[in-house]
Amino acid sequence: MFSVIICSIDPVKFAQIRKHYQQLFRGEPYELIGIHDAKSLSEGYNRGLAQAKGEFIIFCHDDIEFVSPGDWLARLKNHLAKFDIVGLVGTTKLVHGMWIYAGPPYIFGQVVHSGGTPDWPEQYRLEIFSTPAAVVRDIQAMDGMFIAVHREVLEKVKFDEKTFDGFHCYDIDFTFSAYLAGFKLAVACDLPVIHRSKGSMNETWLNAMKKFFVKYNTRLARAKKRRFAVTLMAVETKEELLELMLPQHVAKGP
Amino acid sequence: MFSVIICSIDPVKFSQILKHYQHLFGSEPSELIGIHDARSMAEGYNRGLARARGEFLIFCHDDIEFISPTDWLNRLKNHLAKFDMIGLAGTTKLVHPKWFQAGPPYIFGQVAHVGGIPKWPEPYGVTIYSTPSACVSGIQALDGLFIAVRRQVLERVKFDEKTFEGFNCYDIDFTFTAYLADFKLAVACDLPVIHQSRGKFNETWLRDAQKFLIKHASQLAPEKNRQFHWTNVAANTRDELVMRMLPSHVRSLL
Repeated sequence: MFSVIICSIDPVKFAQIRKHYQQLFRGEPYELIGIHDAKSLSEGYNRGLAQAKGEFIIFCHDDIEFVSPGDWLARLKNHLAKFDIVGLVGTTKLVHGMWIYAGPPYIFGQVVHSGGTPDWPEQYRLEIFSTPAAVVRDIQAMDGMFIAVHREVLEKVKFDEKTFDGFHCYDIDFTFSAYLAGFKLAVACDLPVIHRSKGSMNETWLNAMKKFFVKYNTRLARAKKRRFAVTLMAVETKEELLELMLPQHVAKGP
Repeated sequence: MFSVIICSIDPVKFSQILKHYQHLFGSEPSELIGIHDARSMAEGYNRGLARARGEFLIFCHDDIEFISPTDWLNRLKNHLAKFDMIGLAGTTKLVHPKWFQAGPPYIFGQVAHVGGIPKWPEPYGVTIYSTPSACVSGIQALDGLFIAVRRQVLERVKFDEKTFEGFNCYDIDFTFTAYLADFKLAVACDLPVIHQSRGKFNETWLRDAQKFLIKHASQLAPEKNRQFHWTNVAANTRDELVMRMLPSHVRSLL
């Protein structure tokens, strides 16, 4: 069984994501646990976890949408049969509390953000970090918009609510801890997703980054900072997103 | 045996590339044919071809350098054992005389440039179109900076010197014609290269592009005019470039 744990303070978004998971799971047994008063994402997820009965636990944001719902469950199960934790974007070389900072060719996955703004007039903004195959192994850390985890991982690794008492870095901390504990992490490239928000960088973000460095200083890969730009595409429809995000070498399976 | 055919009007560059190929081939039998008065790339290459004795022909620019030379020959031979034609950058969906016009996820390969990415301060930069594995099959057209071809292809397909009387589009025409004649084209992602110059899309290019369209328009895939940016990464040294261009999923097992 799957348990989905979502922290949400927005009833409209929560109703949408609840409906979305009904569609994604169809006949598959699952439960959805909403936490509506989380003190931090770590605290909320740990609280949700205490109630969860599933063999597989999904932690995700309330503002994501999978674009290819029909084959989502089969693909996800396929990946979870081989890996302990599956996410959607992440890195094989963690150099910083921001997973993306190692740059190409160490960053993997793809994600869509909403456009329709003056600087991005098209409907969607597709970001492709790298999608060499349906799934990418040897991942060290992943973004928290969606993380699917085997229960056994959570017996050894929890969200660190003491250190990360806000809404930043909890995801990198959790996934990197699991990686350091010897669990197998992977990025799924064949679960195209739209994420309606983007992370914000502010004072609290900076604080979380500092704490992350203090906690993991010696465990991070050493890397020189180099400029990079990832692949970006302007897209107007969901049909186009599917075409662009699931080319043959990604959709055919591992 | 390999025959390398190079059109060059610059004696310094020509002596450099000559030396480079001596290094690349080592004791492997090879010949290098220089054409120093080509009326057009197509004419120069056809003239060189008439003198060439090799089983494998290489057509390449005089301003490229492979930055992982010791494993270059084995990797190239490995690819030529499976494909009729190998290049370094190309597309699985040709929509336009600019081979990369279809955008991701239809463009493959990677090319580093001396001088780095425009407007970035680092001395080197690599453009990564997409490098899912050591070699990408299903290619329809290749960039002419380096093309390695089995002789049997050239018995059926020549460079079209009647149509392309300049220095543009001869490569897209040659490779696409071979694709249409059912030869198997591939992009090698594991032969990291530095190119000293960049394609210029000027008036002369436009003239050749029109000729290309007259010849091939009906065979091209329909074009969607979608905005995109590709992946760029900066590097301070050649060693950094090699590291960025040969991550473990790109390095083929030899």
